[in-house]
Parts: sequence; structure tokens; C-alpha cells
Amino acid sequence: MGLNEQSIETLRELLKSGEITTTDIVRDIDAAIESDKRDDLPLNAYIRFDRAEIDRRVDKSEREKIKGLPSRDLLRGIPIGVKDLINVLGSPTTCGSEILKEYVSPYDATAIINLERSGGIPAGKLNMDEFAMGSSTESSAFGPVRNPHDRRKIPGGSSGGSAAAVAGGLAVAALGSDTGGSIRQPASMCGVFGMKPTYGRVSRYGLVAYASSFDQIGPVTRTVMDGAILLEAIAGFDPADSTSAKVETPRFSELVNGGAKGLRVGVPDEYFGEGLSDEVRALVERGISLLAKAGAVTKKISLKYTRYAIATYYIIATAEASSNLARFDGIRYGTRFVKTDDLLTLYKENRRKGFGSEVKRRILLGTFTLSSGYYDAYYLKAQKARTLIRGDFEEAFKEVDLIATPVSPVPAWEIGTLVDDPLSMYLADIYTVPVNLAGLPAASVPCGATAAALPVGLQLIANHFKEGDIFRAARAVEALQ
Amino acid sequence: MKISKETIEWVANLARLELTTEEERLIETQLGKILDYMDILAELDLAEVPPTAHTFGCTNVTREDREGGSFDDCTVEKLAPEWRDGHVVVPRIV
Amino acid sequence: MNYDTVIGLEIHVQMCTKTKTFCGCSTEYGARPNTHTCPVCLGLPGALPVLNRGVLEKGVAAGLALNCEVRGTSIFARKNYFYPDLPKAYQISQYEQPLNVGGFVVIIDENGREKRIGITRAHLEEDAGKLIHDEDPKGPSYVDFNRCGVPLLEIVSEPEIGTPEEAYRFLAAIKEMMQYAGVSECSMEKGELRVDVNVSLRKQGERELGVKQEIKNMNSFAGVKRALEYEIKRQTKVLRSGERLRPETRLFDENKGATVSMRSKEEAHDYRYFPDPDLVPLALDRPFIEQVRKALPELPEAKRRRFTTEYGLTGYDAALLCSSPKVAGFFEAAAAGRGALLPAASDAEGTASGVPPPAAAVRSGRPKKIANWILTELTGAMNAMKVEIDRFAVTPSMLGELIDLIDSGEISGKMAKEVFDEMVSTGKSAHSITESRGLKQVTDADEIGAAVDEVLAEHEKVVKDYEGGKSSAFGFLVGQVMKKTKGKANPKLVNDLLDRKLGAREKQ
Repeated sequence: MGLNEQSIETLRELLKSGEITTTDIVRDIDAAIESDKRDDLPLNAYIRFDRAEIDRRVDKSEREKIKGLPSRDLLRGIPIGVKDLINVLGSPTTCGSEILKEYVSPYDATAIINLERSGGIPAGKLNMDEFAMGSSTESSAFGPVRNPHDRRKIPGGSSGGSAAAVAGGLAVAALGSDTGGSIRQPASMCGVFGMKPTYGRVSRYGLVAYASSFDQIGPVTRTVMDGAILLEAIAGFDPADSTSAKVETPRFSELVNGGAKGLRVGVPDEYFGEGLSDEVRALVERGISLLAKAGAVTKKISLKYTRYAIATYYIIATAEASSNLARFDGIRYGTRFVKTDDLLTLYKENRRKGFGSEVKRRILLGTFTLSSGYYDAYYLKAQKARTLIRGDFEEAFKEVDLIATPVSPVPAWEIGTLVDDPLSMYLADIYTVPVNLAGLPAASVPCGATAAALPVGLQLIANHFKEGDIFRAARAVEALQ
Repeated sequence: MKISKETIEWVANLARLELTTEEERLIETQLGKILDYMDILAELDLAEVPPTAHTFGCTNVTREDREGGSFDDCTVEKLAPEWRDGHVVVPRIV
Repeated sequence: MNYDTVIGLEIHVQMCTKTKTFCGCSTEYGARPNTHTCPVCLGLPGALPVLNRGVLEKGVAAGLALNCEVRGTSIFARKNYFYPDLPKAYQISQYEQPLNVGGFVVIIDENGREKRIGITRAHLEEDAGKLIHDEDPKGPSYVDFNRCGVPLLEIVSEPEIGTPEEAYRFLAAIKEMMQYAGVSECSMEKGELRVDVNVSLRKQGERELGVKQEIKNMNSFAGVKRALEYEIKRQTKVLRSGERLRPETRLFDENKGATVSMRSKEEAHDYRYFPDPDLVPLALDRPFIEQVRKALPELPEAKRRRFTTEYGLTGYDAALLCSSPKVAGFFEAAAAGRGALLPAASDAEGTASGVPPPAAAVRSGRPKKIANWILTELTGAMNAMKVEIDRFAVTPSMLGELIDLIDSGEISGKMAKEVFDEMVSTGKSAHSITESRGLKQVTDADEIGAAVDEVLAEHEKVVKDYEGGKSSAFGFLVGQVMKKTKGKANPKLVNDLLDRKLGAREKQ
């Protein structure tokens, strides 16, 4: 097994003992990427993997290690792939879009600063749905990403590159972002662990905004322990983010092996109804039974407003997105596609050429629902429905510690199948978006594969700032696989 | 809901997006379908429900009135696609 | 058909915090373009705003100074539109829950009566960048983002202003309040105060408002007044001719003294306001608001009243002195002197608050004299030298000393003017100038008496004229005594002695 296929936990020990160096790991990753490129159907997980740039970062990290800067033990020089939605100083940050093809980040996201302070090294920018809008990573300006388990299938999205890289051995671990399921769903479809932390747990400063009241950066890793380590490295209060929570970051890695005994797990009826594929249902139910075997207590609960979650999510998210993406006009940074004397032409041409069709669709939808005459009927209504959906969870968490559900109603589908049917694609987010509406933490842990060998994940949702409960339960499921 | 061509054009203009006739047609259908779906919210009685504008519950986050965090003098120039005499160049504003 | 004028003003005041509204970039005026920027104010992807506490405090201070209700809850909203000087393509502002609502400002109307002009709201928002244009009209435009993100307070008046002069006074009152509350210096030249005017005419007796015209691009308070005067005439003419007015935005042309319609395609803006998800709500409790209120200096109206009661000034003089906090402070420091020839207490800051002047000083009219000197001589000198009172060569204690020298008779009123001029140009004290130039009035009765005797001897004919009934001859003789004493004789003493001596002669 190459170093590129090892866990953070293992590599940490090898680095500590001096058996390997960071460069050894990078070399193996590089070789794997090159090898994958020669495949008939390459994964295309990376937008950018610049060896020279990475080597420079490794050097910088080594020099800082010598200086003896504190708390570097967490990641000890391990290279981590970064979704191309996160600003890394000196590197292009394209967000999978033409309009930012030439934008080079002049600053680091706080999560990256935290990553580096913990000894991690940003290594490569991972492919994604354009501006994180999508569930299949088919809308990237840099080509679609493939599922390592079946390269004709989607890896999920929008953090498809992150999940495919980790699952396909092209990265040790990766950072993704989740607004409506964009970490959990690809993690589920690629058979890896992925978590969206509590809203406010990880700073959003430097994360290119899609929907500001939902976005969070989170880990995509091979193991639950790796996920805990990576989250611990990037989390923490940030005064540069007004929505950053002033809470202590628990030592998640120390909570992972706490066992599932005594955890009360709710299973909501509404998530196991029509639309859920039989194969997925069977695997998810099996996963829940493993939890019970590990000592958890399960009970049926009801989250009665679930059926309104998609409409609520898409109205609010696209409204926020339409405003967040208005800054992309090619004036201060990014690509100017046209030379013109007319301001209106500049705006329209740059945005027409720079954005793909899914992005345009969501911007139009969002602009519409915020416009006068429609604000009350759509946006305001959705904000109220959001209150009800949050209320569902508040009630549930009075009686349970965790909620267990499927992540996706179906396993990975064939690339190209749903691109012309946006509504159907939106509806597939039904199990993941409620979590973002409520700002709760949730993760996907692998719980088996279909007959066609397509992975399926079990979603575990916890109360605000209770990621520890998720790690314990996920670890229990992982151990019993 | 049926969304008219004029509405699409007006919204596109608000968002500074230019659509081809083909794109307009497609959007008309797609957005129409999506907005129809959104009508599911009409099932809810939302009269007494307060809106959630902020995920958080926190208030009064501020910082001190102290200098810090500014770019050096050449960053804006490096980022700008067009630059002259210390300024970002844009088409003539009438 | 007669019309009533209905005027409303929308004022943007730049708040004088050190750093911008949502980031730590400097707000310093006049810096080299694009040197005070960061990811936040440049609207880079991924950047996030954090509210400057100083902006919040000044916003509340402004609201209190304008007699507003400071709301317990207030939120920031995004105002979405595209313009090259607006990096995020939205301005962070306040819409449905602004910081301050329902206030008022008191002005004196043209009939000398107090009039309250309502303030609908005063809310926080960020400024946009600066656009300049190439000299060649076919050339491009240029953007400087230094100003982007600088904090603004938007003050909206109720449409309760009735004349151009009232508008002028309203603006002066706002400026005064903002200076006092420490919110802004309100220099229109530096763009620290910008005004948009809304004016419509309403048929007398009717309730319904007429068609509103908005006027932009005003550069001075006087300009606002002139623009309004023109606009009222124009609208009256249009309405009287039977035509209708359309809601319009017009620009004021200072040179022509006229407003011009903006021919640009002014489409109706749909700003799509919604609460900014990147910022959390403001929850302001009573203790916080009281804390800000306590930190406010004495506001102009209270100060004006105090000046009339404590210092015996006329309302008019008090108002003039109080129109600038610095001038008011200078006055009080100067008036704090005891009326002796000793220098007054610390005049370093030029402000004294709450220290009432000695009653005796008030009775002697000393504060009135000080006020007079400030409003005439000092103002004249400062205007000529284009310098503010806190940078003026004459300090409060120096002025106090000068007044005391006049009062004690050491120098004549006429002499004092010369002494003052030299104080201004040299910065020397009145005392030292009087000494060194030997300007001290001659108050010695014997000395003056001797001079009178000499004059009487030298001008026998005039004396005879006086004794013959020609009263103007007296004035001539006084003048001669002054000439003989090189102008240094105390005029009153000269008068008395001359009178006595002439009288004595008559008896002979």
C-alpha cells in the first residue's frame, strides 16, 4: 500500500518516528494522480496539483517545525487536499468556475491557517460543482469527477473531488464544504467518512460563500478517527467571522473511542418513506442495527416538517447565493471576457461567459424570490418554514442524542443522467438539507455497498456542538463493518 | 407557476445575466417547474411563525475600532484585470 | 393657485471612526488610491464583515443627539445593485429594523419661532468607493476603493421642511448635532456630509402630497438653498401652466444655479433587501444606551440655554457661539477667568464645562464682552487666516487678559484693537505687548490734568467758542488732549478733567 492510501493516524506515527517524511507522502500521491490520469476514465478529482507549489509549502512547514511552533502534532506534516472553494494564499481558487479561473488568492482562509498551525499542508485544489451548486460534480468548468467505485457513475457533489480523491487514493484526506449535503452525500457515494460540523464550529472566513447561513467547511477522510483529527485541526472561534461560535474545540480525537453505549438514537419515519431505494433502506437499517449492537438505544421519532425542507432550502439558499455571486463581474479580480466601452455589456458578458447553467439557474431563482412582489410569497415564507423545521429537531433532541437516517435516496447514478432535470436532482437532497436548515452537525459513515458495489452511507445527526456523539457512534458502526 | 418571458428577462437584467433565446426557453420551463414545487409551502399555516433570519442566536458581535488586516499597496493592482495610475479601470460611467 | 412647499432631506454623514465599518482598514482621508483595502472592503470571495464597535457607539450617540428612539433590536440588510464602486454588488445597510427611529431637530424658522423637524430614521450603512472619469470623454472611468466600507449614518427627515431657508437651518442644526455628538465633522468639502433633496408642491389646503422631485449633487448648504429656490420656482411654473410633473431625479448645476433633469435611463431599482446572513442582530439594552448617553457632551440646545441664563448672553449670541462646540468651549474657558489680571485656569483644551462663572463677573458684563470679541474680532481674524479656533494664535486666557486690561482701564478700547492685531500676528500676550509698546493708558490725573492745562492755554480761541455756546468745541479740545498724550490718555478721564477745568474757568 502506498503512503497515499494510509490514514492520517498511521502516517502521523510514521512521521513521528522518522520512518517517512512529508515529501515521501507527497511523492506517492503525485504518482497515484499521474497513474490515474492514464486511466481511460480518469477520476479528474483535482483542478490543480502543482508539485512545485506543494514542495514549497512542505519546505515552509519543515522550517516552521524546526522553530518548534506549538500544537503541530495534530497533523504533523500531512498533506491535505483542499476543495477549490477555499482560499489558499498564492494559489488559484477557481470554485470550479470559468469566472475565477485567473483569480489567485491573496489571503488564506482561517481554516487553512488553522490547518497549517496544526502541522497540515494544503496540497492541491480539489474539483467541485461550480460554486458548490450541485449534487453530482458534473457542473465544474474543469470537467466532471468520477466515482472510484464505478467510473461511469457520479461521485456525488458538490465536494465530489474531495470524496473521489480520498476514496481513490489520490489524497490522504481532504477538506470539503457542505451547504445542503455537499460533504455527506459524496462521502456516502464514495464510501468514505465526511462530516458537516455545527454551523459556527469552523470559521467561514475565506470560504467562498454559496449560501451564507448554511455553509460549513468539514473533513472528508478514510476513517472516523481521521475525521475527528482533521476537524479538531481546523475548528475554533474566529473573530473575523461574525457567525463563528465562541465555543471551545473539544479534543475530538479523544472522544472517538468513547463507544456507543447509552446513546439514544432516533429514527425518523419521514426519512424512510417513499422514494428511498430498497437497497439503500436495507443497508441503512443494517447500519442502525449495528449501533444497537454496540449498545445504543433506538426509538422511532417524527420530524413532521421534513417534506417542506427542499422547498425551504432551495428558496433561501438560492436567494443568498444570488446576492453572494453578484460580486463576480470581472472588475476587481477574475477573468474579463470582453473588451468593451459599455458597463452593462461588461457585466452581462462576463457573467454570461463566466457562469455555467446551473449557477445561472440558481441565481435567477434567487433573484426572483427576493424581488419585490415575490419576497413575501417565497423568501419570507421559507424563513418561517425554516423555524418550523428547526423546531422539529429541537423537540427530537429533548429525547434523543442522535438521529440516524439515510444520506441519499439512491446510490450513485450514471454521469449525465439528471443534468437536464434540475428539480429531480434537488429532490435527491431531501435527507441532507434539513440539517443545514437547522445548523446541526451531521456525518456520513459508510455502512455497506449495493449489489452493484456502490457504497451507501448512514447519516448521523447530533445536537448543536455535539460532534463528539457523532464520532462515537460512527466509530462504533465503522468497527462493526 | 407559469413564469412569463418578460419576467425572465426582467429578472435576468436584475442579475446582470444575458440569456440566449434557447436558454430563456429552457429556464422558463425549469423555473416554472421549480416554482410550482415551491408552492408546497402553501400547505403550512405560517401566520404566527417568526422567520429565522439567522442560524445562530448570537447578537452584538463587534470588533474594536483598531487598524489592522489591510493589504499592502500592490495587492489591488495584482488582482485587477485592468489597471492605470493606481486605479482599477472600468468602462466609462455616464 | 397657491402652493405649499414640502421638503424632505436625506443626509449621509460620514462617521469619524479610525477604521471602517466592517474591517480594520483606515478611514484616513486623502490617502493614495487603493492603499486602504483588504479582502472585506474589496469584496473578495470568501471575505466576511465584522461590525466596528465604534460605529455602533457613534450610531447610538447620533440617535440620542437627534432625540430618536434607539431600537432594542436592529439588523443589517443587504441592498443589492450593480455598480463598479460597489465591490460586493450589495451595500450593507439597514432596512426594516434600523438603529434609530422617530426623532426630531429644533430649528428657528423665519418668523423667529422654534420649529420641530421630524427625523424618520437614522441608520448605519457602509460607503462605496470613489469613481473618477478620464479627461477624454471617450476614455474610461477609474475606481478607488479606499472609501469603500467607510461608515455612514443615513438621516432621513420627515417631509416637514417648508422653505429653502428652513432646509439650510436644518442642515446647520444636523451638522451642529453631529459635531457635538462626536459623530462627524460634517465637512461637505471632504464629502463627510452629502445631501439629497426631495421637494414637491402641494395645493394649499390639500392633504395629498404633490409629485416628488429628487435633487442630487449638492456641494454646500447654500447650494441646497439655491437649488430649492430654483426648483420651487420651476415646479410652480409647470403646475400653474396646467402641466403635470413626473417623479424625477434632477442634478443641481452650481454654475447655472439651476436643476437639470438626469437623462440617464433611471430604471426603478429593485434592491431586493434581505437580512444579511453574515451579520448577527444588534440587541441593545437600556444600560448600554444610557452608557452612551452619559458619555455625550452637553448638546447645543442645552448649552445655548445655559449660556443665556448663566452668562447673561442674548439668545442670538448664545446660538452663534454654540454653533460650534470648539467655539463654545473657547468662550467658556475665556469666561472662566476671575476678571483679575491673573491668567485664567488651564486653557490648554479650550473647553470648560459646568463651571459657572463668578456672579460678579457676569454682572460686570465680562462674558458679554468676551462673546462680543469672539463673534467680531476673533471670527474676522480666523476667517481671514483660514484657521480654526483651536489652532488660533489667541488662546482663551489671552483673550480674557485683554478684556481685563480694557476693563481696568489700562488700555483704551481703541488701543485694544491694535493690541489684539499684534497678539494675532505675534502670539504675544496683551500684557507684554502693552508693556513693550508703552501703550498703557495714562490714567494719572495729574498727568492728564497737565495736558489739559496745556491744551487750554494753546487754544484760547476754541475755549472762547465753547464758552460762547459752541458745544462741538469740546470734542475738539478732547481730541487735542488725546493728541498731546499720543492717544494714551484714558478718554473718560480726559472728558472729566476737561469738563471740570472748563467749569472752573467759567466760575472765574
